[in-house]
Amino acid sequence: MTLTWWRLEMDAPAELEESLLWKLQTLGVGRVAIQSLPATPEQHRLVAWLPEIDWPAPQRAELERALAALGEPFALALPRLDWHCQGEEDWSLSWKQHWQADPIGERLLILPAWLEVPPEFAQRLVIKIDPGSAFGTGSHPTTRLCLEAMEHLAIEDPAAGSLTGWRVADLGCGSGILGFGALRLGAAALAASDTDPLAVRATAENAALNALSLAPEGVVRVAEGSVEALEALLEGVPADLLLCNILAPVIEALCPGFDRLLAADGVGLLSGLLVEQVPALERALARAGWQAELTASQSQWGLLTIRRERMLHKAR
Amino acid sequence: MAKKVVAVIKLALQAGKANPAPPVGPALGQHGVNIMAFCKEYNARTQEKAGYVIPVEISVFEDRSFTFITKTPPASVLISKAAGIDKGAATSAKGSVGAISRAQLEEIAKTKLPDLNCTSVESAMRIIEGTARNMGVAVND
Repeated sequence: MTLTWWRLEMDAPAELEESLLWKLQTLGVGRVAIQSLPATPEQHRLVAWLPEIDWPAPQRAELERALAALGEPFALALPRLDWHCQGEEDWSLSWKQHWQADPIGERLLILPAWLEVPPEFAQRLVIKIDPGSAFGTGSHPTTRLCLEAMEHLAIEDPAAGSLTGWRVADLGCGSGILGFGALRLGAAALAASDTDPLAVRATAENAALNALSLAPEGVVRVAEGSVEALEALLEGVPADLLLCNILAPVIEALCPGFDRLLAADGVGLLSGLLVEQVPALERALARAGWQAELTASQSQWGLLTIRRERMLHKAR
Repeated sequence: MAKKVVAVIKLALQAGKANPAPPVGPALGQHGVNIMAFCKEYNARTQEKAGYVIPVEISVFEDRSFTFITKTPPASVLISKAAGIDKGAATSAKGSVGAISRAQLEEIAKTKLPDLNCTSVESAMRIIEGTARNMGVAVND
């Protein structure tokens, strides 16, 4: 039988929240969520789901009376309860409606793992991603800026028309999406690190999705950690391309270590920073010996390209 | 990576038993969060605490990726444990099922403070005391 749900919504004042959770639990209402928005973290909204068949009008009225009594110790009136009917659906699948094949720039395509390549994108280089707990699903401007910048770098190299043969280091790899993009554009090897073990696992799993093998047999190396971990993966040979899509203060803190990761003639793409943060970050990079240039932006997000020396074309 | 939180969702779930049914499915699905990935990860992290409710706070980022942290047990669980009772009163029989000391109240408040929607121990104590009264648990000075 298909269940239909009552969705009960109400504001949850700080004083009442724990009492509401307790009372609902004792009344057999255990399917409860407390939601808030970053802009108003102190305003909580309680949402509860009750099987419609078990909660006809008299029972719902009784529940409202039981909840109203909870305000007494705090001298608070119970906020208004809103009841909505909600149909049953297969929530294990319906979240996927939010995802679709996503073309990036001229050549790349981010493809959720469960989808086939749409015919109109058949000529694109596909990066498969199973979106999960690691940042880097492709839908954030900072991810897109990095991928597009890699395409532009490939165009800068007229002989190859790609990143052919480049060794790539991804600091703060998240889902691994940026490194996989580089490999699709011709890079030879990827070293990736992240301080979040979930991201390390996601990168390994997404590598498998993209038929990219892990070292030592394959071209992808991934490890938990920061600059030191990435340096170890590079085995003493700095990369041709450094990718770093982390927040500006973190980039500023890490940039003194970039010279251990990036070759003297290498290129770095730094994202995750707001355009307004660029001047301060440029100064920090300059102190660390890097020339930085804001080369792309989208809404408030910017992308910095860094080099040891300004070069129009990367010397091979 | 550049993470900007767009929504925060707290759920009280049975350890090791998260599934796509409400509240997980509709609460996270509306944001495009990978429901099965969350359930798998939550169950893996909490499977050794089967039988307990382990609240979880999920932060959803702009690109629909997410992270979560498990939280302290519900205040009612801590109050019941301190009072030595199974659960609170079924009706609002104030002070009828057990009692805790003010020192126990303060300890619970300090434990729960990071997870309550308040910033001071005093406010947390008022919340916990009110919750106890609603449960029929008296606070003895």
